[in-house]
Amino acid sequence: MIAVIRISTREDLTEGATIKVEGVRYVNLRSAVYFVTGLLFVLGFMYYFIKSTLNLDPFGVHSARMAQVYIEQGAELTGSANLVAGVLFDFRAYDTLGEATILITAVVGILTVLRLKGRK
Amino acid sequence: MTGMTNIVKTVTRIIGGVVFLFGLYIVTHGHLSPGGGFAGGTIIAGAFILLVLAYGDNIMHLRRIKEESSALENIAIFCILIMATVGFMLGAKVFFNNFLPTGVAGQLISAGFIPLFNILIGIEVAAALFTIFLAFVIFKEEEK
Repeated sequence: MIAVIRISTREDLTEGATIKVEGVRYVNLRSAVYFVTGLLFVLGFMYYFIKSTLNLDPFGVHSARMAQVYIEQGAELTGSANLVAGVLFDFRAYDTLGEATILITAVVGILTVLRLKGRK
Repeated sequence: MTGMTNIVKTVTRIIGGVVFLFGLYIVTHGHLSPGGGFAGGTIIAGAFILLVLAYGDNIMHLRRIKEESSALENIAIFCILIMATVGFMLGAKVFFNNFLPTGVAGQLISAGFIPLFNILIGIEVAAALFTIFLAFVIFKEEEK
């Protein structure tokens, strides 16, 4: 991938798949490299996709491995009597940080829109 | 910005402190009872908004407290980030590690850093909502 990016330029956009030199048609080496790399990427993606789908539960069978641990050991792991607070502020604290960031973004947006000084 | 009538002012004088204390209660008991930083912060912001709406204020003072609440909000979220990285540095390989002793579930001082986190989130939410409200009020005053 990096090699493809390194050798490609803006002029390649207009290049065809074949080159004609002295009346003989040759396959453009660059487009061949693009094709092979794209094919490898798609095949690798498909391989790992299939491998990961084989690990899933069969269709229609419900399994709650994470939720079971949260419900059974949440109180002793976090020390919080409120399970919702234990999940929100300990197991999923990263999510809560994102929510706080949304509020910050909303405030910055409103302060930017409602600014009379820089409008003229 | 002008205030409201005498009736509203009297009721606000009675209710305002109670609403503020209720917000503090919701925030500090977030790990024991339903509620937490988001709900309590909204109630605290509601107390301040009630005061500003009922009594009114001149625009220079409103501008100054808008700057202050905006700064407070940013400081609170900066403290949250510092707390997250402190847990990261104290050995564990996860962000937001609960590095304080958890204590007995059910007591007021327990659950590690969840109460601290709740309080900081409460400050952040209250300051953010109050800043939005003040931005609208100041915009309306300047438009005249």
